[in-house]
Amino acid sequence: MKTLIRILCALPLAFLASQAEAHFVPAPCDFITGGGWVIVDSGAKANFGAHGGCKNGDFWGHVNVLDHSSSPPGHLKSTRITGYLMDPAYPNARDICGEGTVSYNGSNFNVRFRVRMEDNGEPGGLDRFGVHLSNGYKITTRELGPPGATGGGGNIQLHKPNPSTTGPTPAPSEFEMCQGLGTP
Amino acid sequence: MLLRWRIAAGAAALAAACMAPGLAQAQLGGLVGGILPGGGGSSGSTQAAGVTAVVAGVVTSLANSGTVSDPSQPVGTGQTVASIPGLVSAEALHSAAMTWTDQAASQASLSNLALTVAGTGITADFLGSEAVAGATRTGGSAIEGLTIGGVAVTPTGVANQLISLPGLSVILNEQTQTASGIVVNALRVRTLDGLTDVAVATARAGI
Repeated sequence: MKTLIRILCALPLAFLASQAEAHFVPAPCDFITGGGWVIVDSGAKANFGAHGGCKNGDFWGHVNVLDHSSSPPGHLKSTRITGYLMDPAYPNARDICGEGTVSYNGSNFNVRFRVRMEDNGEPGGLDRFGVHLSNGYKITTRELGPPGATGGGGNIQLHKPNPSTTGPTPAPSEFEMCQGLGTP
Repeated sequence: MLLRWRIAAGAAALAAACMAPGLAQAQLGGLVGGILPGGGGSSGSTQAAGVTAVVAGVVTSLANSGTVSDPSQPVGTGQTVASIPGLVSAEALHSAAMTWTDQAASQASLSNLALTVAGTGITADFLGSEAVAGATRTGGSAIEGLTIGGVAVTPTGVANQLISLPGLSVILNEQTQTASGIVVNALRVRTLDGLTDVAVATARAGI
């Protein structure tokens, strides 16, 4: 019976462990850059401009997001990049994790964020973007602009690896980079 | 590479009257020279900027990545909202530039542009540009929801599309080949008296 319990307990732990290892820093490190807009669930536009990668043994990048669901729009501005990750299941996507400041409804507060950017070819209508904040705000990852290859909405570029741009050694875990914040 | 021109329909008494698509680069004359991205700067530089404006000799740049000095040193920046009072405002500005041993690339973009030059209002939902220099030199622009003087304008997709207005010159998807690379401005607006010159979404790549 104890053995059965151990097995039953181990299965979800093993699953969680495999999930935790699903995202890691690409090696050699590469870059992702992009700008554009998505239509959020309210029907409003959210504009973004972002880039990420590795540099000087650390992570590198910048993230801006403006959600026009409110007036004035709520916006996120990154202050520190703490992670740059890939998931082999989504080879065209990269996640950028970090800390930032949100301005919304007259107040400013600090958050952690996780952004997903996905380059699905040119000219960019099938590229995808999403963002998840530690306060619960989320734009689930979705196509830029109106859905469809001709939908417009900007462009995301996944650039080739650059062996001379190095991340932290040893590479931190997904939890260390994103503090448990899930993929948007 | 990137070259999408999805613009709101409607187009274009203004465009039909004023556009001269496909204007050869050589015909642009002094427009591509000087301070602004297009002809100036060192030929090997790789850099990007959201907006670069010269007004009466004063240069102002928004979301300027700076120039890449080494392949191990990518550069980039971003601004949530930025403006040059009385001239231009934009959101979600972003610029990034990077090099490899065999290639250089840069990208710039912004949203919700509101630009006024010589009394003419120019707006766009999105402007972006990219440049890559390596074995080949390629670049392109994305322009969405462009209006000039309140009239929707549909870009042709051709590089260096010139729109001539009274006292004003507008170039869409301006592309300039240099000795070692390429410079792309998604939008370039200049007064004919030379006092105001604005480049929007500039990507420069040189190697």
